Amino acid sequence: MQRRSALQRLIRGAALLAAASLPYGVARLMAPEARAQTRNSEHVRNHIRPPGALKDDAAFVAACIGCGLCGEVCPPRCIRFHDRDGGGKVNTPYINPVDKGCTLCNKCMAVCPTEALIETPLNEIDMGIAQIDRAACYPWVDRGICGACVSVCPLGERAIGFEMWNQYRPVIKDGCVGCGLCGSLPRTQPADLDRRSLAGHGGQAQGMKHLFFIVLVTLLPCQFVVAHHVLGRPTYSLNEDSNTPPSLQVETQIGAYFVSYMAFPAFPKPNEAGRVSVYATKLDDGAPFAGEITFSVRDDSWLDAWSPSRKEVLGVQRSQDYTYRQGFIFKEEGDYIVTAEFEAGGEPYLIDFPLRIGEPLSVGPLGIAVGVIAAILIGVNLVQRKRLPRAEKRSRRAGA
Amino acid sequence: MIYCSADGTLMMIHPGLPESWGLAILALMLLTLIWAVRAPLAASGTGMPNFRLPLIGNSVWAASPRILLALKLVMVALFLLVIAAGLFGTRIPERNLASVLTWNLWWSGLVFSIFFLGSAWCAVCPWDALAQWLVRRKIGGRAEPNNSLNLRVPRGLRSVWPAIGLLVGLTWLELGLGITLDPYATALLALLIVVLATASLAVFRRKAFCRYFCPVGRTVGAYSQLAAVELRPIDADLCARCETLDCHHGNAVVEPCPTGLVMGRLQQNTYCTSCGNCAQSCPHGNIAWRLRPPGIEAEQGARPQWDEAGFMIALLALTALHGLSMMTFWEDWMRNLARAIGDSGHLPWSFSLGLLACLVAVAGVYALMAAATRRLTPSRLPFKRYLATFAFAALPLAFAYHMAHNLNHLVRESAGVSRVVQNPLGTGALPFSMAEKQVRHMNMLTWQDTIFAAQAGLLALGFLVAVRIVRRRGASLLEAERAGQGWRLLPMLLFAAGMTGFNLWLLMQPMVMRL
Repeated sequence: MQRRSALQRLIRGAALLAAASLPYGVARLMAPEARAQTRNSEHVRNHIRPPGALKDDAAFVAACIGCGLCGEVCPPRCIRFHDRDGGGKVNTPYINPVDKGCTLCNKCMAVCPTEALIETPLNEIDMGIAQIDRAACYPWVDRGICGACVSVCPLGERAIGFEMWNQYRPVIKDGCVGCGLCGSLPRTQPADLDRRSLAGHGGQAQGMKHLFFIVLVTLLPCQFVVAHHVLGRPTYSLNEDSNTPPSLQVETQIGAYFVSYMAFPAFPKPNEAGRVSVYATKLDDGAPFAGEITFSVRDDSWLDAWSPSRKEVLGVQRSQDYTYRQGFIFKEEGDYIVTAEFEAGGEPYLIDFPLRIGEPLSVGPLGIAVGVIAAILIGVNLVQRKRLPRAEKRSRRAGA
Repeated sequence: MIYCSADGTLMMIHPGLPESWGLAILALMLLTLIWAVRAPLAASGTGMPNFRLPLIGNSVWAASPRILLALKLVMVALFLLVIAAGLFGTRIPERNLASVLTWNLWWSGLVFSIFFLGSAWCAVCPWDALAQWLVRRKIGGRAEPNNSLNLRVPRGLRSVWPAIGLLVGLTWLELGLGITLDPYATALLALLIVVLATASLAVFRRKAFCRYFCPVGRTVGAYSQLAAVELRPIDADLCARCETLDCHHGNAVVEPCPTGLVMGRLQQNTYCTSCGNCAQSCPHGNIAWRLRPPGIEAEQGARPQWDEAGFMIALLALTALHGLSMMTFWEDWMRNLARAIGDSGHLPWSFSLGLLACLVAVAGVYALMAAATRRLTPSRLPFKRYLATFAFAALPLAFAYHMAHNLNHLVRESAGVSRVVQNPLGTGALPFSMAEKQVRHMNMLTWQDTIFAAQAGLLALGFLVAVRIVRRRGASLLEAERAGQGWRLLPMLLFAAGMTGFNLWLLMQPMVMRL
């Protein structure tokens, strides 16, 4: 008897606890995370040592000879040096992540002549840990979505990701090594960004009003083919980090692979060199395809299924950094289909991509429309000229 | 060196409607359903309620046709600019006025104008204006009718079935072929529609294109049954005594009614193009805009028609398809279907099958529910009558989801339109860089919570109006002595709840956009 009542009390207590903890849990979930701890002063947070630096700062200052080589080799030029402020840190390197973040390229550690910077594996680097100021982050204050910090992180998913409950709010994960790249994203106005990109590429883009026609890709009837189709619509993109002109991009899934296709320039012209790049990764584990890809080209025509046009092999390419590049120069404008063929896992793959060289007809459709309308109007006019007198005669006869 | 890598593509995930809103709407739906089942139905045949609000401004439509003409000129100019930009401008959709103006602004914004202005868009429609000028060869006023063959539309086409076909076709082009991302194809479509409108005006009597064929006009017409304004006679008695019917025939200077309506007897907005001819030709100046309770027409004013019912059900299915096609699982379905049937390219056959399945599914569930309702009601009215009558309930459901869905597009994608206006052809413009894409998606026109609240409000309102319509229309089908029994309409109420629930679910899904 007593045991039963004790059990009842236990269960009741657990239920009460659960019921009470639910609102607490919800409130805790919704409460903003504590701001960055104030143990480090502003100065310390803006002066972090380069990757691989000795943990003990005094030891680091003692080991560093102030040669400045790390700053010389730094590709993003993020390494700065302490001023002559009379302290012992003079000429020792630091990184201010608010200004410019480290890309974890490893070069400073490799070049350091002393033991101040030690070559360290990427995920063992310890420069600190990023903090998200949730009051200033757009997604965290429900003012939109961004994801720039996640996309820029050199370590990817293990260092920063999105919150589980809300897929667009960034959170720092355990893998963060504190490189500060996410903190150095430019906080610019949209107008500024636009002007910058236009100023940078304006010259090349002149006369770039040329077209790419979305083609319904008809495919060669090919019995050994496992799967081949183009899915995903062409998009045009601009990679700001390189000096390449805008590119055309198509992404598709075929068989066990996710295939990206890019054409440079986005609007190729006759007698102008261009390039096609193909990159394929396996759907299940993301492993890039490494082998040979054969590129060929044929005319794109609606009648292709019935009378396949002549296929011309452009070349067989091996991968360079898992990317397969095929250059081309077309003499004549027109619609073409570029085919990439490869074999993986004992299965043949064949992917067709549309490629438009030169501008398609602009005046043509306009001419057809105007012509059809004119024909209709003239036709109606001619018919009416015969119909009206007849109707008049009929009504006169009826009147008489 | 550019790597086109799968990891390099950034996925933008727009959050869906928060769960709290969803639960609130579900609770509201449940309460409404309980009420609707228990509360007795009002006896049918009470007639139009007499609480129409006072007249609203009428200067544009009646007093001065010049303003309307000026608006038309502006629209035609913009339309021609769209064609020019599409044909001669850049192929980058977000930099070309043709795609931005047509799809981002007009096509998403049109549905909102219907709620506030009824079918006013049709009055300034550039397609019809161009056709009118080309065929009738007169800018304004009554034109020589003999420039057209003035044939009657063949009997088989005298319904909105052709418009349903064209609406399905338009959806196919939009979602299946992705015409919204292709300024060039957008311009081709614009040219095609002008040719169709012109040909129809040159061959048929009055404006057959507007009345029977135009998918946009019929959509506007159907939705405008729920609009808060209407163009109607001020004094109904005056119209009852009228013998000239200038509103139908026109007069010496004003064209006749383009869709062959008699304003004096007008009960529903479905075919009214708000052109204002009746307002201008009425000798008594008896026609004006007035406010009305939205939904009153779908509830009781409009007459059930078989073909219009088909149109409303198609609208419901197609609006749901718009949401569905944005889901990630839709892409998977298409891909699997394509592999099964050996489809390739842009998967036209797979998409067509998906579209067809969506139409059939919605129509099938609707027919099933209508049949169940008929089972529960003791009257011996034909099944077709049930189908035609309850279709009005589909209208607010489709309209509410259409607006809620388009709100997302409008608010998230229309930032930066001014830049396209400054450079309509996109001369020298580069594609959006990654940063610009992100900035555009971040720069919403309003707060996210505002959108959520508006979306939730729209869905709730749509459901409430649908329930009112089911009850009102149901009462007209029930025999008089059974009129009090609201529970007999349960299947149709469940249909409304089910569609609202489905639309709600669609809105609550995060939208994935590949940058």
